[in-house]
Amino acid sequence: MLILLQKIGYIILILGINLYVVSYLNNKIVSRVELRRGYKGYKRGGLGFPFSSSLKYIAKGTPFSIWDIFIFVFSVILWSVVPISFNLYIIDSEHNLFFALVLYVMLLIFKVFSVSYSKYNFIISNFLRKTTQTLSLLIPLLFSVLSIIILNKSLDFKIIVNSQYQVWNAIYQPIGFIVFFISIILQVKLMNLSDYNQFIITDNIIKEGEGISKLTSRFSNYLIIFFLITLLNILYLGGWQKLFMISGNIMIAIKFYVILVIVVLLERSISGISSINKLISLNYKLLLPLSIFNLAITIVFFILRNVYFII
Amino acid sequence: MRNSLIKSSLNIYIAGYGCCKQEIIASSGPIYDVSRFGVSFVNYPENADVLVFQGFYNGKGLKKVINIYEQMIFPKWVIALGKCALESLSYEAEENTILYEFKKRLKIDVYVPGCPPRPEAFIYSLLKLIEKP
Amino acid sequence: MEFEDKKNKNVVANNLSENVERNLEYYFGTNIDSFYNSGRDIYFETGYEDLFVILDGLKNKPDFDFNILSSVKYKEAGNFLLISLFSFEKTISINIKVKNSISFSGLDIKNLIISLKKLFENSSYFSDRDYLKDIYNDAVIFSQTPETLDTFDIYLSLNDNTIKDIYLCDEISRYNSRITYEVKEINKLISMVNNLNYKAGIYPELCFCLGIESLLQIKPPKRSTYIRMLLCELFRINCHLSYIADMSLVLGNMAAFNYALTDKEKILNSMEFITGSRIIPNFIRVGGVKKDIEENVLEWIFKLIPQAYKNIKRIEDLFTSDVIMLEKLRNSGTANSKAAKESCVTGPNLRASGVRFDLRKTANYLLYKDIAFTIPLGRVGDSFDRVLIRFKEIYQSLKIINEIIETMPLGATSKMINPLNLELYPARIISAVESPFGIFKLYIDIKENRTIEIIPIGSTKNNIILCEKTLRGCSFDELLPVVSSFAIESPEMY
Repeated sequence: MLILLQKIGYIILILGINLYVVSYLNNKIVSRVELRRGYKGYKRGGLGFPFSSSLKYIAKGTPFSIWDIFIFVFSVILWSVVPISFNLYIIDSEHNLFFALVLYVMLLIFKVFSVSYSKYNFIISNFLRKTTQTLSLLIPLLFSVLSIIILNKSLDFKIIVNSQYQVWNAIYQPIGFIVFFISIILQVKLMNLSDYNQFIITDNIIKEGEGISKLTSRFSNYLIIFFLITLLNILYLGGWQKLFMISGNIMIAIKFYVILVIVVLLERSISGISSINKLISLNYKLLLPLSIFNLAITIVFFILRNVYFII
Repeated sequence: MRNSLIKSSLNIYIAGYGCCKQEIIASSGPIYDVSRFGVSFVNYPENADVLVFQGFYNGKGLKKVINIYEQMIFPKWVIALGKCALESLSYEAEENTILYEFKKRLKIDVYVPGCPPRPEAFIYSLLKLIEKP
Repeated sequence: MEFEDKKNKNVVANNLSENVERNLEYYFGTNIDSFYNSGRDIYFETGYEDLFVILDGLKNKPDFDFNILSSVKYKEAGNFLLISLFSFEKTISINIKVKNSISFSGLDIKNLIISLKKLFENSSYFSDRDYLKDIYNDAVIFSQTPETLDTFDIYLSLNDNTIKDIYLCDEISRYNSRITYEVKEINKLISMVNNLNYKAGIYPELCFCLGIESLLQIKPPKRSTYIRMLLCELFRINCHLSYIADMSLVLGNMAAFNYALTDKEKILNSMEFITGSRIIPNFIRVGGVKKDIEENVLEWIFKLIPQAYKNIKRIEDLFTSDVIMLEKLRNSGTANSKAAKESCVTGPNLRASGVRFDLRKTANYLLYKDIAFTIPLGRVGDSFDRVLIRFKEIYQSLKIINEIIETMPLGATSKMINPLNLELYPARIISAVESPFGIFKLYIDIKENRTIEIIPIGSTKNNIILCEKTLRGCSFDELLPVVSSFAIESPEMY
């Protein structure tokens, strides 16, 4: 019992610190790309910026809906299933990967329902289009995850990580790694994280909402980014494996922040996505064929190794 | 306490068109950087804290500004920027005109003269707003 | 025989406006009053009864062939009506004013514009169109903060994500653009004229001073015309850079927005060194220029040119290498050369559709004939061409500035003219200038009680006509980038 409470405390602590650091880094990196300084603060430096910008949403009235509670709860429950380190998870079963993906899809669907309380009808139709785009971006992602399940023959995170003690999975499956990475960047682009200079109405759609609903949407956006990057770490980059003398926990932190900086920089290098056509062409003409090709090759190798014993 | 929380990250809504707008957009560039004080620009009046009143208006434009001001949520502030806006506010208006209603409903906090005021003047007026109790 | 024919053709081409003047006297000599010919703009007055006879003749007779209506300007509370026609083969515009013998009411003008529709198609755009607000009611987009979208509302009638009809309503930006001052306060008028086109700061001043100098037959000294050309090109670069910043804001590329603003600051600094202010210069006077430029300033600007070229080239590479921006701009909002000519658009929007027309080359004003530069053209006429052509014009402007500073002559900077001693007889003139948004014209009226009256004739209405024609049939996602690529702005729309 005490161990359970300790684990919950550690998870909440790590998530909280990461929220603060990532929102601060996002502001500074984005502003440096655009030759600006970032939030420097009037008196005490920019260290209090994440607190003030998030608490400000509550300062002017607090309308909220039921869906916000669901979003908040589900985005936190995700972390009972996905391990941050080798012992920081709460539910121990062999099918953790399946539960994680199911919870993620339900989170996205709840985000759709939370906008139905908006005043502007035009925004609802456009928001529905954008969430269907995010859901369609999941399909190549799922194919690449399937190919890893076939490679490692299990749905359990521990076995996947332990089987990478010599070589990372990214070297066995480079195409799947690239597909996963690109779908992360596109999903982050659709979230519109940077709060700066949102002048146009039709692009400002996902940030609609007042009060607590805006807070929960921003909270869930950050936690989704964490989830996707830890999935990438665990499935492709070795998770909590040691590298010479550096311990596993430090390696997780290094990998996480390196990939986060690369994702933020690449996200800023393309302009805003507001129409479906380019996403559809990117998704169905580039990502989906690549992931199916990857899956086909892994199946062929699987059959040759385990059924015919050739390789 | 609540006011100081809001003033640490202001949202600005610019109403109207005119020469002064070029200097406000120039102030959001990297040389006169306005976002290092936490200020950002928005396009919905419900999310805005500060309304900037500048440029040229006729009767229908003034009606829109009154509309926008009434959609904003308390607490809210107003900055009057530029010579054209100040001229229309400095004279007395006759009754049953739109200008009379406009002056009755809006309460203006900061007046910024200039034609157009430089970006440094705009930033200085924002800092004065933030310091005001 | 061939050699003689070519000689005759050249002689005819240079005297086109004189030919038109002769033909007008021959056909309509009894109905015309107070004629004025300034090379590329012809102005005369008629009565209300003779209007249609003249317009019919101008359109249908082979000697004239003026078949495009470029603007109709009327003021109900002042008995003012001005119609202007244009022809692209002769590059001459004719401006007809109706005399004040009859006082107009609103009904008279509406009937007139309805009856003009038999001759010219574009006349319905110049009448009162506010009844369309109740018809095109499916979606309404109000004026927003970026500078290309803030002077009008958009009323749409949709058909499942495609646009059936569109109405750009400019009721916010209608105001009384009519300025009167006394002759002795002519310098105050110069500072007030800039409100008519506030982005291009120097062009209204230049237009006004050129008109009065052509009336009085004053030729300003050579150094002052070179300084005027230098300021013109600096303001042109400023306008195009702000256009690029607004387009990158609408398209969502924040890096290009910030890079464009940094490069704009250097040019604003150079303007501040010369004139003393960034946006409204108030620098040109009748007979020359207000002050002289120092040598340090010219050297500073000369060193700035290669740096500016590299920085702006970097922004252009951002535009052409970003796949998502190209997808939004390419093949959306295409305007043929035929459609652009029919709506009588001028400026960079016309050159992007492939038509070669620039007032700096056709009408020799301000000593541009001594400087070598080319006029860039677009190929197809989509919004990507409209963005690219602004980059090309910036490079040409930098080349012109380079040559101006190298060959700047010494001498006086103005003919000292005291406005208290000016004697201006009653006359009416039209003067035109090539601004970065199109051709900007001013109608200057000098009256008997020693007052001057100014009415602007701009090119924004023609941009609205072309914009509405190209957007029928497009999808809704293309709306905002296409509308903002036409650069519809300035408050003299009405």
